[in-house]
Amino acid sequence: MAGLLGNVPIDDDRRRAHDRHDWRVVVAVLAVLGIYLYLFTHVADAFGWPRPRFLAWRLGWHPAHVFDRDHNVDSTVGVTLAQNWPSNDDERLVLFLIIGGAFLSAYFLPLPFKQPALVAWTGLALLLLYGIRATAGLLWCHLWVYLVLHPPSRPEGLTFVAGLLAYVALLAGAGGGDWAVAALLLVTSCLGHWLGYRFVIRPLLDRPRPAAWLRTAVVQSAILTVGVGAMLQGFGAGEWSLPLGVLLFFWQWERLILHHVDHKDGRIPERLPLWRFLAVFWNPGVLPNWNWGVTIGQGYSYVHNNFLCEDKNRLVLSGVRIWLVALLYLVFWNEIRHLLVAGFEAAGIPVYRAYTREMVRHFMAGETVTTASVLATTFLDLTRWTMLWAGVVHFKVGVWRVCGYRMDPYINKPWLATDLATFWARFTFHYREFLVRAFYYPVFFRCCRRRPYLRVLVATLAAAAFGNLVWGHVTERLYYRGLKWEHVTHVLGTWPYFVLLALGIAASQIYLLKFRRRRKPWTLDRHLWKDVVAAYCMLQYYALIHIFARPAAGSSVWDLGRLFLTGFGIRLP
Amino acid sequence: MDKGEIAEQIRAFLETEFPNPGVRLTDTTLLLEEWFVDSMAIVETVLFLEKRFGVRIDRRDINGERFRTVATLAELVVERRDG
Repeated sequence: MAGLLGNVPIDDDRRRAHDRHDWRVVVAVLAVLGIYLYLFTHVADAFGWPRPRFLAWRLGWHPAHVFDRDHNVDSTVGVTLAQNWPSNDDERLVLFLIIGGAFLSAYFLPLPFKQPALVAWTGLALLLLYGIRATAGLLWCHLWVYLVLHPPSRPEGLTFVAGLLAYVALLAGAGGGDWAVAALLLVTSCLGHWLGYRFVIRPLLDRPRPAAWLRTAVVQSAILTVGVGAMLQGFGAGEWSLPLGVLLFFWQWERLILHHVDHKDGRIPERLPLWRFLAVFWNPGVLPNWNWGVTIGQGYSYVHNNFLCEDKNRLVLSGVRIWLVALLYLVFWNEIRHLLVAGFEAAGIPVYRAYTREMVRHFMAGETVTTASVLATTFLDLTRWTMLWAGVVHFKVGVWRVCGYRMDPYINKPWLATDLATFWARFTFHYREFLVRAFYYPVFFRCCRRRPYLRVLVATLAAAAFGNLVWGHVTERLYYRGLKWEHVTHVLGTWPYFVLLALGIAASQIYLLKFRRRRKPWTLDRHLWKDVVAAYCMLQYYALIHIFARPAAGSSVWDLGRLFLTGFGIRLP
Repeated sequence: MDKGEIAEQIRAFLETEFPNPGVRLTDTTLLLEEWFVDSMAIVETVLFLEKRFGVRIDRRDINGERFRTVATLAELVVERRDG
């Protein structure tokens, strides 16, 4: 894991030494991007080329689950929440072209302009894909975080800009086309922002304790807003709907928390230019599937310490490689899923299309589900989800890499893990780092210092159970499904999954602490079979506990527990 | 115990607990690049430093600068012990 601990700061002289051009690398990036354009958009029509399905047919390949109705590859990589374009293919076309432009800028521009150019390309993409209101709303939110976390010496200009952005994002059109009302709202917004910052926020920032509270409130604004919104809805008030720009901002809350951790640890310069702050959040790598893998990039120290920290061409080529791996997942995942499902069904083991939730539904309807079926369905569901997830997050990581960042893969061969702690790190690296830095370390360095095993257990419960449940899954569901109290209770009802996950990870850690590993896993010796068994058992356990995370209508924890135990061959009435 | 002895004990711990065949661990070996494999190793190292040298390691010490080499870890122990 090259990026463990956010790595060490690197100076611009070393970055310049890494910044050498190689045309072959540029051609490689553009060629792979060209393949993406061909497979996932309608660009073939513009050149009179056959669409991907017809090309496959000409080559004698007739897959049933690769192409969609418009004859290109049915892809999960795309632009979420956008409504400005007629189809996903058009959005993807814009996305890939923006990524190409961003790559060329980051590759060829002189060092001082590389990261600002990436911010600018991201801004352009946001404007094109999400529209001016959403872009203004997102920038408005980030500007407030910047003004609170990194107060500039002369904030007047920025507060007026924030007022203008608030007007565009939230108030434009409120006057019903009346120019006088529009002008009044605009002036009020700008003046309100300036006065509010000058006479309320700034004096608070000059006092240590209120400043700390204010910074936390800004960083935690996402969970505060959705939490209050969901509770009010639960008490009978109407459901809040979040403006798109604010929702886009909220999806970055985990990286914001890591930025805050860096800030508290003194790992961010005292005076931080706005573009340098935005470079953490406004990168083309965040554009594909905005709400997937939102922790990729982590916070300030990880992003900036990993920018051009080694030879540029090596970084870019590693991005090309991971794009090619992503391509395999994106093209073949559904075909592989159907093959696996058909194989198990042919062997007489129902696997419910590889969906655990579907198995739970059948179980609740009174169907007898066998142990083999529980094991196979949950395992295939994990396989399906891993392939689906890996395609998208590998693509996102690839974008960061071709733009010059040494970005750790989000998923890194999780099937090689032989214990749950390692698996968790390999399966969801950036999210795991978020949980470790935001929850594990603060608890580990405060609690039970004299009792190491208890210390590990409590820290793991804080991170993998509490942090994961509240800051990961509750917020996520509220963003996806709307600010309703029932969504909070739904996720809280899946608590056994989080507890079993945390206990499994803690048990792995304590075992490794107690019984030191004398042998490296997957060494080719007579103990290799133990690695195979350990890897399978660990993966199967992780797959099985998802039964609690996939409840069906009317299922209780007891029902899910019975199904879970069926996986171990234990049948309860 | 001087810094050299502390470094020697840290090196012995890392070589025993996280064997890394083919790599010779010196005071300047880059631990994050060439030795540690996961954050569990960091947790174990923290537990070792606290128990063996009776120092208190803080969350802020968990960073790339402190965990860069055996020498920087030894410096951290001396700093905490004498500070």
